[in-house]
Amino acid sequence: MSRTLSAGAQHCYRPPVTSYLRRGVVGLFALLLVFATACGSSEQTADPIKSAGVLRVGTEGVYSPFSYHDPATGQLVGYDVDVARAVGQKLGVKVEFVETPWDSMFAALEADRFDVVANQVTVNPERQAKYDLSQPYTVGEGVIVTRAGDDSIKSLADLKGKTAAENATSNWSEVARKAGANVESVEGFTQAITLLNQGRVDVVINDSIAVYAYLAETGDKSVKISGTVGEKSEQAFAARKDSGMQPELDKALGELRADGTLAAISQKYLKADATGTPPSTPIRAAGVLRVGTEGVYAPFSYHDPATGQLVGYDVDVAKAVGQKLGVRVEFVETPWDSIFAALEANRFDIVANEVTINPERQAKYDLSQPYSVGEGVIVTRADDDSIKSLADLKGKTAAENATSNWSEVARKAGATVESVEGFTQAITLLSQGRVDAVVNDSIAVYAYLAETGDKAVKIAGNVGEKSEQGFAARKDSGYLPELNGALDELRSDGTLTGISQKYLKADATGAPQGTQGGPPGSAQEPPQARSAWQLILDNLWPLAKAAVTATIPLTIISFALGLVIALAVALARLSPNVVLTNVARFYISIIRGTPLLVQLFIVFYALPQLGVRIDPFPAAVIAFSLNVGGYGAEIIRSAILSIPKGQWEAAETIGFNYVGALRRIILPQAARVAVPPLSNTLISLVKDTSLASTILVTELLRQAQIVAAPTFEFFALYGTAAAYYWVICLVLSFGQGRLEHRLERYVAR
Amino acid sequence: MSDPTGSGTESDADPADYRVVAEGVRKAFGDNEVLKGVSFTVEKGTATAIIGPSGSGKTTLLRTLNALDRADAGVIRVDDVEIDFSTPTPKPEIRRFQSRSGFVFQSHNLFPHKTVLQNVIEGPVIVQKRPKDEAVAEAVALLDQVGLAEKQDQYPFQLSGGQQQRVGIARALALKPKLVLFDEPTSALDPELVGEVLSVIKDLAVEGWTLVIVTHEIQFARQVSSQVLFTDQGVILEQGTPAEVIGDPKEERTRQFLDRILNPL
Repeated sequence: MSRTLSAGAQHCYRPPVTSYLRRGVVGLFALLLVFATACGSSEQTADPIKSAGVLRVGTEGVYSPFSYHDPATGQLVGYDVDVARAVGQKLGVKVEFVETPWDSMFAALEADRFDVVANQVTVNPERQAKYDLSQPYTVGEGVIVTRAGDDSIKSLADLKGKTAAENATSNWSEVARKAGANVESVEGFTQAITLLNQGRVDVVINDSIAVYAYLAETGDKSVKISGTVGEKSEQAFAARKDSGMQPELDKALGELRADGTLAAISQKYLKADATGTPPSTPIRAAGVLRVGTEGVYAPFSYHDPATGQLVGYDVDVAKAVGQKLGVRVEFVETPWDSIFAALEANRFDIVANEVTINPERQAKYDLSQPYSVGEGVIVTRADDDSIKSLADLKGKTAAENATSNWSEVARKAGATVESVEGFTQAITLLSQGRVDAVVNDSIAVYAYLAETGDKAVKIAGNVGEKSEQGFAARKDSGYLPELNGALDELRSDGTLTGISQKYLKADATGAPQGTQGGPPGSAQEPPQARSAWQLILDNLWPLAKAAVTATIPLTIISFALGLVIALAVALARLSPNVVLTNVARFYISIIRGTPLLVQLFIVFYALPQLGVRIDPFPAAVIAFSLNVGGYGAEIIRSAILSIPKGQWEAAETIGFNYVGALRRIILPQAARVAVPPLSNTLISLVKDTSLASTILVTELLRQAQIVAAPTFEFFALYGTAAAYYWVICLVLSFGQGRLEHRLERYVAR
Repeated sequence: MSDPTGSGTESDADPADYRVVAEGVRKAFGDNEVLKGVSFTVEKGTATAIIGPSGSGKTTLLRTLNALDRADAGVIRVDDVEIDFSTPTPKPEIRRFQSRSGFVFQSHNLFPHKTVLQNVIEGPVIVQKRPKDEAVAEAVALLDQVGLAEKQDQYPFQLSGGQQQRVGIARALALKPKLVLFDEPTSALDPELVGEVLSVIKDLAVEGWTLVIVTHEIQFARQVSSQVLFTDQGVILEQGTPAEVIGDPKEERTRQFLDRILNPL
């Protein structure tokens, strides 16, 4: 899952407009979900949605106007909801909505809680790598939002030194930061706008669709769109990787687009047609050819180790085609796994990555004429003469990429197939004597032999199957005439052969001799991105820092203030004064009867409406100490009541007044009784501080969320955060033990 | 210890000879009228024993002398502080009243979180704000007097019941009260520990402290006190010298009570 993908220079991440109310607690829930679904590869059927008869759709339900409940009817409605319903109708299946917070949306998707996410999921390379994304159903652009009275910001250049509120995991955050703004991390657009209105930040950058929808809906005149950032964003359905649902989704969306349904839904909710028009302009008219390629598949598409340049057979062929057509060529590096998803998502125009021509692909894509032709060959150790043809594979062991058709070929020939990640690993196993044979494409094998000079393996025979590789474009793209024309010219002027000789040390262009290509992607080692361990290692310090600078101080300060409040409330509760007693009772009742999260939100979000604006950290301290005060009051009260009346009397007889008796005689003894339950409160507080993540305090959990969101490594990062919490609590438990021991020194054991 | 409640300076007939003068003391808990107008006096430098059946009001009577229980009505003077309990009294005045007497509890009520020495000096140092050195020296002397000098750094739970009660006495004495009140000081003790406590109290009486002792130890009352009050059903039924009240009771109730105590079988 974690394959490198470098978004080409011409493409940045797309912003998730979607993020909304993120909640810290939800993060841990997501962790559990991920945990619960160790692995879930669904089997493939031709039309998985139709055969299931139901389409389960994950959506927030709180993200107006895309997914929300109609205040009048209570019905779940919105642009994304209606589009999903329409898709279900087109496919003739029932649509079930599963309302899920945005934070745990993808975790829930992976946990098979539903089939697709319909929640303004912005198309970006990371998501394309991890999920099947449908064709986009909304297209927007980045806009700059400021307060209506603020004329100081008109473009990105004016952002320098300003403060922007952005979702930490969105691309807009990057855009704002690069423009020189201080970025305040928020949960979502509504929160960002709130902060803007409250004067806590100067600017919000977000997707035009979200902004227009917000303005249309609220009639908010206090903010305005003051400029654009010149970046487009597209939103699509997301399904689990290899769900097989994408064709059905795309087909249904295509029909909805064609019959005007999509535009009508867009008009209804967004007061505009935000559906994007399907690109149908020929390459020359566009002036640019966007090419999707892996960039990690030597010698076809890879980075020259010396120069760092993207080079390779397919890359050079694509460049030559661009030259012939007189257009600029932009490369979008995309992992093989998601390359077709990205193609369909219009991330680029064609795939140049040794796409083997087969009937399935021909049905789904516009495929150009082949520009490389190979054949399947059997590779063995140099000293092994026992295998010369497919027939000799019976009873042998072969190493093959599990998803490649060479795997099928070897299995059918009677070989035991060892599944490997790619060609390099297969060859390594072969060299080590762990397997007997590797079946692969001759082009890849020749290229490997030429490049490494490896004499330990040899080509022992061929499997009699040819393969041809061509460019792939979206169906009905209209690109084929231009592509094929250019390839014809390159072939006839010798350019193609030249490129082949350069990279493959052979003419693999399919002129005279035949070779055959395997499925691209089978012949390469997927380079690991940062592994989960590396990610954990890299984030040990940032997470520890968040714990030390936020979680721990927040805990200590809130607990200390909370204890003072608790003592005062406990004494009020014990006082003979009826008014005091009832005030204390009421306070305890309120604190214990309302969720801590709500208390936090009231202090941070509601008080500003009364003109009380408190910064995040102090707001958290206030909410937490009030909370500790409520719970601690009852603990302290019962601890005081547990001290025998005789102690009060003895104190009185030696002349103490109430305060003196309390301070010198009663509280020291009550402390012993109160320490265990108060320790419980303290340990709960440590963990409760994670809720502060919802009000902009960058504490431990929030830091983990910030790192986890773009990397999708929920388990690794939330696990690390959990470990830190655990360690803090462990230390506190140890301290509790020591304190109890100390306080028990005067008690008979 | 010299006699801080000493009596030698005044003449016998003077009302100032009385350390305690109680007039018409009444106390009810809810509907239960525990003291129904009790009057008595205690002379300086004497020991008074209060005896009587359970529920007769003797402990409550003792506690009103220290305002641990506030009398509902009646006038009580202890040393130089006189309070009319039928009218509201400011707290500082109550506290001044309380400061004239020390109190020894049946269950001693030592402060469990403080050492023996800390228990004794708590009042003098923290409440009376006396120099700690001085308070410690006096406390050590007091502990020596009750036979516990070597236990001063132990916690109450490390002591026997009798030792704890003797610390309780030292704690009461450390405040230099004009009057020391004992609430059944040996009732909670194992029989073999009773003697050590009684002998300490006896010494105090001999030294001339003014004592009021609620007790069931009739023989002890006879030996140590110069006045015995027999309470029954909220009134003092009979009072006089031990020889009178214990030796030759006038009232039938007194006789029955003494008979039950002295011949339990």
